[in-house]
Amino acid sequence: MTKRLCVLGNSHMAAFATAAERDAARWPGMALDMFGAHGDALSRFEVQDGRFLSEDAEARARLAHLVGRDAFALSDYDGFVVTGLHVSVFTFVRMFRELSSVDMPSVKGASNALEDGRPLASGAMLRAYGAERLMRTGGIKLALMLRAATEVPVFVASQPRPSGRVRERGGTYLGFSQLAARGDGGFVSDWFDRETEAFCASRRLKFIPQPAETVEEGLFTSESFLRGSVRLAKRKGLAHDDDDVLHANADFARLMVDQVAVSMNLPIAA
Amino acid sequence: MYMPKVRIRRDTAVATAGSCFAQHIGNYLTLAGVNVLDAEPKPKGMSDALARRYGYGLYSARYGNVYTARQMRELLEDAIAGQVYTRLFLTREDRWFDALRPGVEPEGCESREEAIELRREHLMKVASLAQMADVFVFTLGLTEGWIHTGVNRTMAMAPGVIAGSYRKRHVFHNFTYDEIMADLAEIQRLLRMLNRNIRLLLTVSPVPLTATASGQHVLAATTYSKSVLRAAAGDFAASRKSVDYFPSYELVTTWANTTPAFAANLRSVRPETVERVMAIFLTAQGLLEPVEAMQHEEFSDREEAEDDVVCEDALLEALRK
Repeated sequence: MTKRLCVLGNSHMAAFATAAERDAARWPGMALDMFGAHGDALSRFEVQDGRFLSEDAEARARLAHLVGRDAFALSDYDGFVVTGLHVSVFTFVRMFRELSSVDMPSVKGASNALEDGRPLASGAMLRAYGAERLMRTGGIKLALMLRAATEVPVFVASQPRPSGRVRERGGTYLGFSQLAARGDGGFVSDWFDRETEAFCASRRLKFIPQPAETVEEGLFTSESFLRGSVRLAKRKGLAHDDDDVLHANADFARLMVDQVAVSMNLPIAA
Repeated sequence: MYMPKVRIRRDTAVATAGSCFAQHIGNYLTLAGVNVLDAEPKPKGMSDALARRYGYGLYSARYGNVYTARQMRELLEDAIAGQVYTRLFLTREDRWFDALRPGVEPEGCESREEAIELRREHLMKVASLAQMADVFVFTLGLTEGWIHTGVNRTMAMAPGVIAGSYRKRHVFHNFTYDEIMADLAEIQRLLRMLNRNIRLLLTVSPVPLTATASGQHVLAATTYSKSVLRAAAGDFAASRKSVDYFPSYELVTTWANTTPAFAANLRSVRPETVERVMAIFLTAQGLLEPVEAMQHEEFSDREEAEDDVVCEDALLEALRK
């Protein structure tokens, strides 16, 4: 019997929508529905009497416009996949821009950490701080809301790492450039995957990490998994601008959905 | 009641350290707009609750509670020398704790190396803090301490409270008036080595002992401890131009109080008492309107608030249960 899963998210959901349509035959035991909108629209939704809905008319209108409905019954689904919504290596890049660990390749000790303007922090504190930061993300809040309301699997899919092209940009991406230049990219990347996995597991959520073959230099997504990414829009196939550095394509989403299928013991067609 | 000898203005760079009551002094000075230094500020995105758990924002650096003058003296000595004693790291369930400030890493460190580097960094921050401060506020809390005789350092608390266990090398010591006077003199000398113009403001914590290793009843031990600290702080301040004493201890413990100064646990100072004491301090320093002018509601709002200072010796109560 086909399992029905609902993918919820922000703009990163578009890659899943494309893969769900393009590669539907790849997952014969699974049907994927989409429910999401740009930005923080989903933060205005809640579970009431077993239904996922919003009392915010504007949020409802955005969902209805993009996915053709503005609510659903949780019981309609055998699992949920939360994608995007800031469950991202960004969370930890920001943390390791201000703090460092003795285990980082670039850190030789206290003097060198202070010279870099990143005071040392214990592993325990970094984990607690990282968990606090994860807890603030829309993706984790949503996943925990679903977890509290249903017993079916709730997956949290890693937002794709950005393109290596962000190294040419400052501002928001400065932390990526600095960590990569110091040789700490792999450390931060591993930390994100390991700690998010542990964080989710302790809350009965299943973390879906970014597949290794899509990652380069720890912090970045290979261009081949970014090229051809599409916008979350009513009109299908609307491509992102060439300078987009954040959104992955359907090939990326296919590998993510494969992990969901494996986790649910569902077949993957060759 | 208090005529300040060491003047604090809003632009005065103030560092705070000491027993847990010193947290109130830092908090109120901050509220009054004084430039209270923080050499180890919390990470920008960290919640206040988590930051407090890891010892951020309690004092001007993450040294935790410094209960005795000897600890303060040794902290400054180590900060100046950059001295880390590898023997002063305790274990509990394979985690490593800094015996000189075990409370700031409640889960401990994964390795001794990590704990050592964190201490090394902390000492650098303490040295830079002293270099930046115009006034160093130090609240004396206890005369009793535990000395690690192997390296001759006074630990933050008795072995076993947070980590480690009793060994022959851990020796109980009840510091005398003369020893405390000598330690205060050394604290002042060391601070001046780092900062020629630094001034010192002493207070004595009114918080009674939770436990004593002196063999006396805790009531007698508390009275002894506070009497010695009060005498030493007062005498030291009286004999030095650049050292002041603020009588917070007297203001809390005076028989003239018309309402209970302590909470139901007879240990925590009630928030309204702290507010009254600090209003006297801030008023004397010209940092606040007189206490009578304050809105009654401000007191009422705090009435139900729990004492939120961090005192590790309260752990002893938990250990008894």
